[in-house]
Amino acid sequence: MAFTKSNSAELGLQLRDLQPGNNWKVAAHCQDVIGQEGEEGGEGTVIVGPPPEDWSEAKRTPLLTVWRHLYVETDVMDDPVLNTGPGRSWFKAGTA
Amino acid sequence: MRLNLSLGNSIATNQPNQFEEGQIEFLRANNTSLGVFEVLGNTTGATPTIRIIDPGPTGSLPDGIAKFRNLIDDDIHNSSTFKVAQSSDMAIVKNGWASFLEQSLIVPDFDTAEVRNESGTIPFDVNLDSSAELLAIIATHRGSRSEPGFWVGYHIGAFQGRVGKDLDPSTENPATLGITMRRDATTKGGSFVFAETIRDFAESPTAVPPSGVLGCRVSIAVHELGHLFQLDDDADDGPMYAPNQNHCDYTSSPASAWSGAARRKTMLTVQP
Repeated sequence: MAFTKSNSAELGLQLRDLQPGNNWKVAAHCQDVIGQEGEEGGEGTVIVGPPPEDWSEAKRTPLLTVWRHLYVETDVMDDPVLNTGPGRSWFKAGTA
Repeated sequence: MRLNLSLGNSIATNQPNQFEEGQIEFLRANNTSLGVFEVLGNTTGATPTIRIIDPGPTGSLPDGIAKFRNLIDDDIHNSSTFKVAQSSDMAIVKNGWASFLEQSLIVPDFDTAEVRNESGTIPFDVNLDSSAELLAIIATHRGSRSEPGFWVGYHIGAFQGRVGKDLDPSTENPATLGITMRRDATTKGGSFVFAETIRDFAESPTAVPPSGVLGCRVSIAVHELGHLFQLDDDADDGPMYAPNQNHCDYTSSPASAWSGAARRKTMLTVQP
């Protein structure tokens, strides 16, 4: 946690279970404990709950959903050469 | 009409009627042309029999046939406006993947700095005829590997799969439009999309998907990608995986191509 000059704090958060579709909400308060899980206050609004002291400053994020990147490596064959090999599609010449 | 040809090289035994819907030009001994004829079929071996369309009202072959040139199959001779004539005609078609994968909360990213192709192009082969050939290509050319925290798919644009399933002749059924070799603990996986077989399929008179050749290639590529996420050729995984069906045209309905169960499998995959 880092405190800034504007009298606020920044906190890093590392999520470990990053499967697509997993959902998260993150709540923060300047006090050590912000209350019980499951308390509802509406997305992005002040959490409503039994205030131990100054509950009005607690915040939480909107619902965060995990999306995953699928990196696709691609390759392609060289230009067609159709008159060689066992499966040839082209016999250039011969006799009848 | 039938004519035996001496080719100099055999037509492989697994290529009966390979040259159906192709052409052949007959020549006199002095190399003057007797005309170009449509091929109806062929036997195999060093001296195969070539059947050609009735050459005219007389019902007989022109006199003086001594030679031929350009016995070609429909990979070369085709009325299609789109031909797989160069490497770029087999290259991945990237448009449309996102609309399939967003249902599973997955975003595709192609040939980024992390998974850039650095292994060169793959030598041309008319038919990839065995699992050993497929695995050898993957082993040689795939430079990246999927991990739980870093998902990678491997797409290979190729010409045709097995000879007996490449729609030459066009009566072969079922045809193989793509195939996936799944990864295991020691082997890298990858998906092949067969551009020439798709062209034959998409432009045949009896199976013309509205999305055409390019849309078909996207649908097949996404179908094969799903196999990396453990989706099976089973209707439970959605219409795109129903056995013995045309999986060539889902670009107009990507949201319903995979079932809910298939999307669940996809999202739960730890390492595709």
